[in-house]
Amino acid sequence: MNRRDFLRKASLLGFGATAPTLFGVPGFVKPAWALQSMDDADFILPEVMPQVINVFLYGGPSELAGNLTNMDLINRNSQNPYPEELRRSIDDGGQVTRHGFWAEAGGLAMEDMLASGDLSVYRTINRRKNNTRAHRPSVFSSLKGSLAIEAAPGMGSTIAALMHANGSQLNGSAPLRGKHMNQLVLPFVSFEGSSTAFVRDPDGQLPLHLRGLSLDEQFDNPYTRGRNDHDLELEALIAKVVDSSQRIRYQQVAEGLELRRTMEQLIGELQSAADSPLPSPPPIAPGVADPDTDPTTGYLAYPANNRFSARIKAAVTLAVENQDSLFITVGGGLGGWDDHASAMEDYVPRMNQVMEALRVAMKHIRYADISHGGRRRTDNIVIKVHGDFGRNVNLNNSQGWDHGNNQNLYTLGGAAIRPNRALGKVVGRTDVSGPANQNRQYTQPADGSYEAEPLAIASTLYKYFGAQNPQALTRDAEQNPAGDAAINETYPPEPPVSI
Amino acid sequence: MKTGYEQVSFSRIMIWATVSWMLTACEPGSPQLGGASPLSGKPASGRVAPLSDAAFEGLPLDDQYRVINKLMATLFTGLPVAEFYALDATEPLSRRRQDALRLSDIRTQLQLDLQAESRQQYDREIAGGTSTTMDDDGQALEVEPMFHFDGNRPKQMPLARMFHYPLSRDSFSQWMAWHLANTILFSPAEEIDSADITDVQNIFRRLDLGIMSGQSIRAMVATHQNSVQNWRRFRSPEDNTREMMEIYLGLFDRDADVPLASQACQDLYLTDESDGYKLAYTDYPNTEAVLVLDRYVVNCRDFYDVVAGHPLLIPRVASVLVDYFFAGHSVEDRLAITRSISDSQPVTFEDIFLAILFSETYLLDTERARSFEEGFLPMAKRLQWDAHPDLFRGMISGNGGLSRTHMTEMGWPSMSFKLGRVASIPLDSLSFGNYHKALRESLMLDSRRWRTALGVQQPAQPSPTPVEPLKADATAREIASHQSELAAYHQAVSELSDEERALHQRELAAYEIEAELYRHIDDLTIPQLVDYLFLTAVQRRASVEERRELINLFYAHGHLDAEYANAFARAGRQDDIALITLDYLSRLPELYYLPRLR
Repeated sequence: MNRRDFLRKASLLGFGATAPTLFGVPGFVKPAWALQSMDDADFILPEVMPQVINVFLYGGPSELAGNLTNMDLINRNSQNPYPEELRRSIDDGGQVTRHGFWAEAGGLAMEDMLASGDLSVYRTINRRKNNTRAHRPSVFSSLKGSLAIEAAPGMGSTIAALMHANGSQLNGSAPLRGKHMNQLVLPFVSFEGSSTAFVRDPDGQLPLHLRGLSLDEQFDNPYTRGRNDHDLELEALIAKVVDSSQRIRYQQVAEGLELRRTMEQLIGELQSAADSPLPSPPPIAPGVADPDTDPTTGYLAYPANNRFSARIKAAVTLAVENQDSLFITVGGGLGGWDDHASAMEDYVPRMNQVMEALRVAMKHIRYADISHGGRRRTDNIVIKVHGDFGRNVNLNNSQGWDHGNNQNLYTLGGAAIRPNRALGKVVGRTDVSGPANQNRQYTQPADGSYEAEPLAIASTLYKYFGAQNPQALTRDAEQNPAGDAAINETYPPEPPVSI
Repeated sequence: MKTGYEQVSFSRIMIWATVSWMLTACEPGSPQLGGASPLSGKPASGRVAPLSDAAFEGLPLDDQYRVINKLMATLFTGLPVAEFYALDATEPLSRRRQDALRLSDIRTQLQLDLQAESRQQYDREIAGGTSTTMDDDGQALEVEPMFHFDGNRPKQMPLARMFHYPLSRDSFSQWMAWHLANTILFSPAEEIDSADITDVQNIFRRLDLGIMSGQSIRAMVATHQNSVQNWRRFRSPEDNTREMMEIYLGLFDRDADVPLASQACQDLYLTDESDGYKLAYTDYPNTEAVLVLDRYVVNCRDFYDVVAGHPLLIPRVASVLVDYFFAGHSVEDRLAITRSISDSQPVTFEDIFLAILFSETYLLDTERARSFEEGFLPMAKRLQWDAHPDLFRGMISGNGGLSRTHMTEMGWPSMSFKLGRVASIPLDSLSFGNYHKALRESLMLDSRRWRTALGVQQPAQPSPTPVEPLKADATAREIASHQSELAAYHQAVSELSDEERALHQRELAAYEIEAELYRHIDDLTIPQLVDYLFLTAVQRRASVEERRELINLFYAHGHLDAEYANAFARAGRQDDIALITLDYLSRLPELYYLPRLR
């Protein structure tokens, strides 16, 4: 039975919905492409090793926070009216910022970050291949960087595999600061527990030190062992008894137990780092402190009463303090973006919280840089923010938005690993499609606009890590034979909006 | 050509014809099977053919114990070694007790309802309340609760019931409802803004009632789809209809059907937060018949009927459960297992669960990681752990003295995720770190709560302390002394109130059992004691290497009795030996898996 036959039969038997469970199954749908792709990726040692924080907004956030440019037509066609202020500029008492962002939905923070050269917004990440609006295939393809969602590993695992396959160039190299890969501490980290981004290639075994590990935002340390009087003797016996056959048979638990001791010590060090004060930014004008500082201490402070602050701060702290952390996933527990109802009440403050936390995150990174008295350069730290898909723009009868295709990518930081003029701009224009007064209304790239598939986000990350031909890592023979190229970060920006 | 309405009627007839056919396709079960008799549908066969009684009896003794405990662990409970193996034999642990539980006993018990009065009594013991027993003054006695609860009681109570109820259809129903409410099929999705703990309570209760009253899968799915809880999870017509097709039929990418189905459901909407997330009518019903899933529908109820009556429903529901219980099998295997279940034409969820649990494939051929419930609760039962009153507060809410057992920290929150728990147990480093620490420190090293019941510490006698029987060769002085002690004892007992006397009797009975177990354990040689502990924790005996190394460790720490050439534990050191052994076992990867036997 080939894969297509299997999938058809599985669908008939209802297996399709259980795709997540199919991945860890050795022997199913051999992804022979994986090893081949590593060769085809055309690896060149990057000059600067990136550190990527991938913030995934599960549920699929609406694009409107970053794109009110079509609001007149959207409102005319919507089944339910939008607030009038979404069609007026902030200069006129409305909500539309200079670049067409939604002021109260994080738009002001976005404008700040755009002006400081920390952010670019891509408005036309549009799924045309395998044009699904279902959560599972969208989440899986986005976090795996592949449409072959049954077989492909997560994008974090693919980056690890790319590095592993090119160890001869990387080990001892300047981008790794002379380190061997097996000396890297916490290179792949999840702040969301078990993450699709770290699903393994069942056939491509990664060494233990390159596999995803998970931490929590408090750097809580469950790896300690209390009442450990006979530790040495018992561990010695375990080392004899748990042989290679047991390690294979009980692989995940055996690895978990093996990693525990290392983690116990590492977490302790991170806890100390997390407790240290953040950098202190300079005043924005004589006598005027940066608004993101704590007035009593003068140090940067992530916003209080913000559900994203702790996790984003933890991820940035890890990246800043531990240069070995190369790929960090953040997601889950971030509010749930499946805004089918009550969107105005929920989405607007939530999006604002994300963007305000990110604005502080970018300052945290900048002022930890050696140019501001830090210990190292931090302009290799990139943050990517995206989700399952976009949403329709019709405001439905539950005052929410149903699943759509077009979404924004918010990409921040990392000037040292991007081409010139990659930051501080908005790319992509949209127009509205779908019949008036019906639910299925959505934006799509306007004629002549730049656009990219969601897989291009993974492809871009692979490129940062040295793949000159990252399409090879996103392709699969059946659904996406050409793969997807990286986002063209040199594409010219759209002009500010005029309202 | 039929009009839309005629076609709707036709589709309804077809649906109900399908349902009726499913309902009438019953055959009586086969009593000699170790696997459960199906309550409806055909006997399970193929990849879910039950393990027969004869096959069970043909297994080696230790394998029988493994099978029993694998099944019971799946049901979140466990059978202590002392209740399966004869410990009083010349060769302890070498034969089965006469009254040991067998596969067929479990099958029978799972199909027997508790008496209503018994169930109420168990609930009182769990949560406290007013007893039907009166005290000396004629006042109803207050029962001290075994467990503490908090605002998450709707999640905690089912676990407490599964833990405290004896094996019965009642405990089984709680367990089935627990699984269903934790899958994508019925998750209350408490994590999302529009759902809360009352939705957990209502969904769980509805599932339990549906199961206990023998409702069909189709009827339960139909009821759930129409509920406000379903709309609080999937909150707009488009979201709701898309998810119904995905969740209950496994049909993805039905983008052409979604707008039409949502048109049929346009008369329903969920009010916003300020109006309490109620399910309401828009007053603008759809009037045009639309073709969805090859059936014409006009309104949401029609659409839900199409889903509930669809031929893909049963295979899909089975596949969700198969993915969990048979994790570790290849996709082809799981497909075959799903097909076998579907071929047996199950009507109720009980049919599917029984087919899975008692199948030879599950009991003998499946190896998968244990969920925390499957790891911790059965271990607690096998250790005869005196349950910490905060156990379920800890597991569910992370509160109280057992906060370390918080399953959310293990990536395994209950009834929380919008799409339910994933089929595979989270074993990422953080989740497993929390799992290991909780199991090891909150249970396996908590010897204070298991050492007496496990028989590794001499039990304390209840007061008033009964007088030891007189020796046959007692002297006159000893006889006189004995009579005096006896009189004092009877005097002390007579001074107890009725209530205290009844309690004293119960304590004496419990003491006798614990004292007998302690005598047996005290008589075990060191290798036998090690095996007793290994069987308790991992349902196998120690290897030669393990036995040798552990005994060396016991010797080095002075736990062996030199007077008997170190063949036995020193008096009062059995619990130290147990603690070291269980610490060792907590570090073994196999402890965290339900074992494959072949």
